[in-house]
Amino acid sequence: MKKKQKEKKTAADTEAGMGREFNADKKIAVQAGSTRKLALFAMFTAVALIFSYMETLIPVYPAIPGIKLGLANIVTIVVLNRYGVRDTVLISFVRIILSALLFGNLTVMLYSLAGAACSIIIMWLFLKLHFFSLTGISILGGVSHNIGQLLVAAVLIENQNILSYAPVLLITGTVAGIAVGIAASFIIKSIKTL
Amino acid sequence: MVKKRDLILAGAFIILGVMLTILIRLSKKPGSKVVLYINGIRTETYSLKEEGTYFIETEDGKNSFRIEDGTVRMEAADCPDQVCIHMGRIESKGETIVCLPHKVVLQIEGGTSAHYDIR
Repeated sequence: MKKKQKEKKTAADTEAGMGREFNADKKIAVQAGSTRKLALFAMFTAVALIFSYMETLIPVYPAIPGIKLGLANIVTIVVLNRYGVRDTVLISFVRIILSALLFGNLTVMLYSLAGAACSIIIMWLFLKLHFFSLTGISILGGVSHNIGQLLVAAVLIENQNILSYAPVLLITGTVAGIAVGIAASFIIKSIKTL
Repeated sequence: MVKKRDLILAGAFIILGVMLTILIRLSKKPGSKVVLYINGIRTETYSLKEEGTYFIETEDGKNSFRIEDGTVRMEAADCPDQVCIHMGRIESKGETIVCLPHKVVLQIEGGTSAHYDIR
């Protein structure tokens, strides 16, 4: 965040001080910035995808569909915190499409998209409110992901009885959210150049 | 990193989850038959008293389930996640086994016909 502000400042300074002659230079700088962004976002997507894959490797067979750690949410939180909601939506979307194509199927993709949409909206709102720290936001993200997914599942299979999984998913979403939130805080704290 | 507010939020969610779980447990009633839904459409009904293994084939994949000792469990499915198999046995009214990838649901229903012996 700090670095971004600094960059903006220097860019503004050059523009004001040097006039039009340096417009070409500025263009290159902008391009370098977007190349950096491209590389970073590609890395974020790759890391999120690896997290998704790692989760399929963990040999835990939950009794209820939807119980998972949500490691990919670490990336979502970092990007949401550092870059904003647009970039988060983009990276999550690409990650879900790719992971569904690689490790899942179309139905799974629908559930994931619904869950991700819910959790990004909720996390974004609460990030703006500054009421909870990242851990709280991660908990809200995990829980809203589970609830969104469950609602879509109830609609898709047209059976409201599966809503009885909600309490268990509430608990597991909270626990997973705590772990993911702490991990994301560590990453944001220790890698300043992201 | 972890504020007190976060902990309160986590605690509230966990307490709510536990309370709802207890509530659902308490409201369990014995079932008498199992209903098969495919794609949300009620397809077939089986009595819990008749033992047997049944095979289902939908456009999304294949499943087989077994009725035994008044309980139902999914025996096999050709989906990648195998969640439905790990859901184990169900026997109470309203309980479900869901195979999300195949859109197959097994649901226990109550029914008066099976409980004539209450006097």
